[in-house]
Amino acid sequence: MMNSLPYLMRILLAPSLLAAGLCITNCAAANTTRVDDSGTVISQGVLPMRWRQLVPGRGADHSVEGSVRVALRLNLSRWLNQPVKLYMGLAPVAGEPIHAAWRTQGRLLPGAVRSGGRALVFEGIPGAASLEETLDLTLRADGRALVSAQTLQFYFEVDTP
Amino acid sequence: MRAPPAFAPSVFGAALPLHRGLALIGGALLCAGAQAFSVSITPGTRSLFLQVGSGTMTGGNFNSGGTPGNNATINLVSATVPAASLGAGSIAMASDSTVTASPYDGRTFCTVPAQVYVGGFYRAPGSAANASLSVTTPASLTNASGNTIPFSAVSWVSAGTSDTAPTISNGTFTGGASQVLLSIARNTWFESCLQFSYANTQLVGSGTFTGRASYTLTAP
Repeated sequence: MMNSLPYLMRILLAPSLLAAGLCITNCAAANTTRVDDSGTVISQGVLPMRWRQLVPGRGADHSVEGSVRVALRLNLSRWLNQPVKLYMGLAPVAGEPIHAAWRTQGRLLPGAVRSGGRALVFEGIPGAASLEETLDLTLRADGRALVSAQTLQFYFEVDTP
Repeated sequence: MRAPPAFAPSVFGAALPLHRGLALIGGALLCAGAQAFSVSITPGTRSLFLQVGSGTMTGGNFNSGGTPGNNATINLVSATVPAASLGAGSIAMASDSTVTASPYDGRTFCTVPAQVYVGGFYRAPGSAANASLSVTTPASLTNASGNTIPFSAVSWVSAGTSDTAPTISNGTFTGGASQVLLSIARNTWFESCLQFSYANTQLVGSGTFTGRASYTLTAP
């Protein structure tokens, strides 16, 4: 009888602890989720960056920039009728940071981000499974540091309460 | 009496692993569709610009978006030596260039007809080496009779309005060779106003003596 009580407690507690552990794991993972943007189309595959100022000025603006139009399609079916915060992010790059700014047609917020960061583009309750938007994306970098072609990875992710 | 195993089947024990397994499968399916759209960018182009004397720009000054263009004008720098002054020492030369304003920002920079504008820029991404401004002259200026004056008889003083540190140094043509005038770091604008003079230290036959100095900006 002396040993029965600990066994009983273990029987009752173990599933509870396991459940609690799983909840912590699942809840943390569910807070931020990547969004399926596989339907997105870029207007041009390779974007030649141009010097912002053709002539190097005494003010030393050595930026290069380029613009591209993005026909964005996000699959939000998973969050249909749920409150979400949708972020657009730019993955970190090697070397000097890349700056991205975008204008929208109103479904998403315009904004800016630098590589390694993200910015809020939507907060609310998605009313449709698919969100389509056109982004006019402008990229800017230090022209002195950009010496070879780079591929910039943009992504979208949802934070749920 | 045998003690039951710690994770004996129970409502929680059996259901949770199953629930977790479904969650993982569901997660894998969602991740398969999630992509990051990518944009490939390429570096800024290399560019080089040199203006000696007359130049062409459209759309305003360079610093306000003006675009430099090709200009084939070859300006003339000349001096007339009166017979009474032959061999009597330095004579200032004059140019037919009318460029007084810096094409960079339009400020008054050179004095005409005394000075000739020389300027330009070199743009390159990365850690490229410096560009080089050089001038090449023949050994001599010649007249129709074949008489010559060594090109080394022509010198220049570099200056510009409010330009306390001219980028091109004062100098003298070496004649018969190319000589480097300036090393230009990438992404740098340079400019100077050159005032030429003829040494006039020798007696030469009458006539018009001509020769061409060609300026070259070379990028690595």
